[in-house]
Amino acid sequence: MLIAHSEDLFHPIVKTLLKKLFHWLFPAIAPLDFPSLEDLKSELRLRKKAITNGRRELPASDSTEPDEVEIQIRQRIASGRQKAERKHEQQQQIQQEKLETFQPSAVIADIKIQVGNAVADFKAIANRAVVDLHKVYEKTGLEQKALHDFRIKHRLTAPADYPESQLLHWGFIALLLVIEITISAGFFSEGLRASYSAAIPIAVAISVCNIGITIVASYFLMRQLFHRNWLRKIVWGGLYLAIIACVVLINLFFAHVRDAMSAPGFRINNPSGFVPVNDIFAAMMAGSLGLQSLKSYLFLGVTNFFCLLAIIDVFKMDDPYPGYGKRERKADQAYEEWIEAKDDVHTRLTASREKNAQAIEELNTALGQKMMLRRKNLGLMRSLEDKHRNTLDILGSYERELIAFYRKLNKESRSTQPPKYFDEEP
Amino acid sequence: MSIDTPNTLTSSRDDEELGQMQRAYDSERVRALEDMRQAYAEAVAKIDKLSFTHDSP
Repeated sequence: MLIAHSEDLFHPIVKTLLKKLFHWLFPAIAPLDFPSLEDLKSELRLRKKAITNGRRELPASDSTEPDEVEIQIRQRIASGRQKAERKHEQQQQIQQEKLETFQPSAVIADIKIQVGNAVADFKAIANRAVVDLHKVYEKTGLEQKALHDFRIKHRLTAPADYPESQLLHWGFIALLLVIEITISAGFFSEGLRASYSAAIPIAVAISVCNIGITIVASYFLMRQLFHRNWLRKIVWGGLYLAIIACVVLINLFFAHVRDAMSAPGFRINNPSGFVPVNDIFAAMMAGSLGLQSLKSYLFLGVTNFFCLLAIIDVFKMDDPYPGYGKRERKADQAYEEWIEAKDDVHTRLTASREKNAQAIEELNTALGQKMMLRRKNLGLMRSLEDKHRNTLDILGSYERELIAFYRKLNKESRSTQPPKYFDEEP
Repeated sequence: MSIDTPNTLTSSRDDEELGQMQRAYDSERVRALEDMRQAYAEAVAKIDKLSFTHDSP
């Protein structure tokens, strides 16, 4: 064997099995399976033929052509050479096929497509983002224009004054209601000479009339008092003031009711428990408060104070000019949406650009891996080529050594001169 | 005995071929990144054109 010049570490049978296993596992890189020099000598029975022919004085001293034994040697080596060539061709073909799967032009074309896709993807996202942003821009522009027109139409020179949120104001109103109900129930439980809980329905009715009506009227009508249009100011503003006056009168009415109910002898004079409403109206129409009890005056003061607090709270909820706060809020909200949309588009564009740039960089990594594989394939082909050359060199040296061995033994075994070509290089 | 088998797969040729491929890719990459940078700049310019004078009247 060509690779069996090392020391014999294994039993011949084990060596044969290992050799066959190696050839089976790695047919492409397994070395040529060719007998060793000694095996060839045995196979060709060179020693015997050289001695026999020598004793027979063959080839003749005057012979100029190689004898049959030398021809056999050359033929044996030539068959090995052919076998090596065939194997080498097979191995190179396998590697060549692998190489053909990696065509530089195809790889570059593929990369161009992928790079083009990345750029096209980014451009599509950028275009879509700009179109989306345009829609928000137009909406914001409309709101801004509406605000501008509103300011011109109503000759407003200062920005609207309104709180960030109305939630706190509505919370304050809820608190007012609770406090007023609590206080009113206290006043009426004394008047009714009943339990505190029994006075709660009356207290709720008082608060709904007092704070409820005040809030609704203030919310929808109060700002009309500040309108540029005098007609609106007079009509709606006048209506508002009238409603608030009614609320104050209602409070006075309830103070009288409370006063009447807490008067001494009320139960005796009114066993049915009904309050003399006609008398109350008569006293009110006379233009006098006419309350008997200090606590009833106190009740009247408390209810009117809560009414005033409700008016102030609703006033602070928005800009004094009717509709101005709402208009500016809408414009502000649209502007904030615009700013958010703009930031979002910037973020999307940057992210898309980075993503696609990264995809392009990743192609570089993939290309590097393909190039490494190609280098490996080419390296393997060069290695096979070197091995093949080495094999052919060894076969050439075998041929020379076998012929030299044959001639030497032949020469030693004969009594006549060997042919002259024995002295030439085989 | 010399056996003459032409070996065309020389190291320099491989390196040249792979080098060409790397250069082709590099130029493609530079062109694509520049293309994308321009598209980005155009998009940003379009966005920046859209603005409001959001202030007091």
